[in-house]
Amino acid sequence: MGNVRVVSPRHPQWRVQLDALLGELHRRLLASAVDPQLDSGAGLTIAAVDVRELLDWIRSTSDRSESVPQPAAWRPPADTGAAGLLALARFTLSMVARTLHAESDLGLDDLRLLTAVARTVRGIDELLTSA
Amino acid sequence: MSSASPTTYGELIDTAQRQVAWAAAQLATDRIADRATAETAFTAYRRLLVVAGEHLLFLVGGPHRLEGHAAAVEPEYVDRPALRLARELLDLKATADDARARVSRRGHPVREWTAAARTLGAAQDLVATHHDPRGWDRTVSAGVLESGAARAYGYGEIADLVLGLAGSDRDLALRAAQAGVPWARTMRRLPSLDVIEAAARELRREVGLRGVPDARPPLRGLSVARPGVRVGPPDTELVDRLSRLRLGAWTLARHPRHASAADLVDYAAAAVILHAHVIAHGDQLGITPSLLADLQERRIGWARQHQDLAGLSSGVPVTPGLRADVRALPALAQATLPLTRGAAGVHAAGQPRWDLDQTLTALDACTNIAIANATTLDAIASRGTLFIDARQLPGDRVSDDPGLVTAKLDGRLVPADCDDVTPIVEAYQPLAERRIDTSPTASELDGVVAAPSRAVTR
Repeated sequence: MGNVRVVSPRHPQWRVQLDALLGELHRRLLASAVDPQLDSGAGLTIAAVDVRELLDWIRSTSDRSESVPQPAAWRPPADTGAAGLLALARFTLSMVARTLHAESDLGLDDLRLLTAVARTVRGIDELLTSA
Repeated sequence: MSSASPTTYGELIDTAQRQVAWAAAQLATDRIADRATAETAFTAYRRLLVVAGEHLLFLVGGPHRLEGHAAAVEPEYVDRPALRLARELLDLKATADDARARVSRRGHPVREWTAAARTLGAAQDLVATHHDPRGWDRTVSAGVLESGAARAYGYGEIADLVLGLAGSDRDLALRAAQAGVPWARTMRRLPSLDVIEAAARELRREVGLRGVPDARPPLRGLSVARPGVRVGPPDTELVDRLSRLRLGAWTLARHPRHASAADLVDYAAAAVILHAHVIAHGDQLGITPSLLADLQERRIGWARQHQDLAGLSSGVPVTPGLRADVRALPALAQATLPLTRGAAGVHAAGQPRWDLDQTLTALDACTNIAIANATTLDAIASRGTLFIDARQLPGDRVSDDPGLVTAKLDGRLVPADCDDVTPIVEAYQPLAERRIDTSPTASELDGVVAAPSRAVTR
């Protein structure tokens, strides 16, 4: 972690970061889906499937010749409960928004991927805040 | 003149897709600035869907073909779902709120949707430039939409765009509500897209199932009719000038009353120049020996045509611009495929700036020119507007005609007879054969201008 890496054009930094965030989100969704304290387990299970699909999407369209370490600048929230999951979803949404504002050369596939991520994490947000 | 590549239909459609995708991504992450922008967004959204429907209808062939397709026993496989989607989109009539609204370009997603509608309109205009106001063809590529595969490519792109747009309806509703638009009003202003989405999916599926057979659909690479010549790098300028010569030859074949014998001499000169430079670089370009031998024959054939056509004349002035293009060719060809002439013949004098594909495409232009020129010569000979210097007539031709004898003695021009012109028309035949068929545009002239196969009759 934290090592200087060369990021290929097809695997820019935002894709590395999104990969790490979605991976963590998927792990926590699976854990939260079986949490008896949460009454939105079924919704979270479906959301986990959606996030898994997004992970497959981003990995199938990225150059995976290099390892993908977790970005040094980001640490997952320590709270592993619903509040931590919500914080993670919101952070992912803000990261998508930052990417849209910062990257000027996003392609059509990039835009569609980011849109799908934003819609999915917003759905998780709605699920958790309405529960 | 410019140095930029001419914009293509595919580039404009890609731009529109990207604008729609950008709007979708921003709607998914950002709020709409205020209620006024949200109200305008509804109008821009609906208008873009209608513009997509109009574009589909244009690809199908226009409103007048709606009934024809509907009544056809066997319509093209993708036309029916395309028409269905077009009808559904065009049924999204403007509401009273839309009629009052003025779509300003402030804020997202209005800016992107308005730009996408404008881009789709530009793509439609680009295709339309290939027809004149009477609907007649202006270019070789005018019939591109007559191909079911070309239309299928366009349908697939528009179906994608509509699906991307339809996917934003929930986000738009949410952002509008966040911006202060009452929920009841949001529901009233947002069009119901279930049927449209189903129709777009059906169209996409049809296109996907049948596929677009050509990896480079002609519609995708279509640029504006008669683009300017790109100045700067000689290799691109040479491509553009050859393209213009090819188009000019095709136009003359359609309007032979404007053609002169001198025009045909110029075209032959252009072909000789190009062939000479390509042959000199045969080895470097990787041209096979059999193809090289064919090119040698074609170069000799074009040179003979140049010589024979120079003996003819007509009272029509030369076509403006043609001679300038031909005069520019030697220098451009020398810069692109440099050669040197010595006692041992003609040889390459440096590296070629074209690859084999570019070279074969350029040679294909010469084939198209031969087809068109043969038709032109046949036509102007049939009109009786071709003349020949009587001094070139052989003795047995003039011996029975006192008038021709006098003309031969005086060195006057006399109307060319079919015996004078037919051999020249027929000599185009081997030059018009498609033995070099690598260009995506190679078949475009088929069916538009017939290859020379008949003698001059009059």
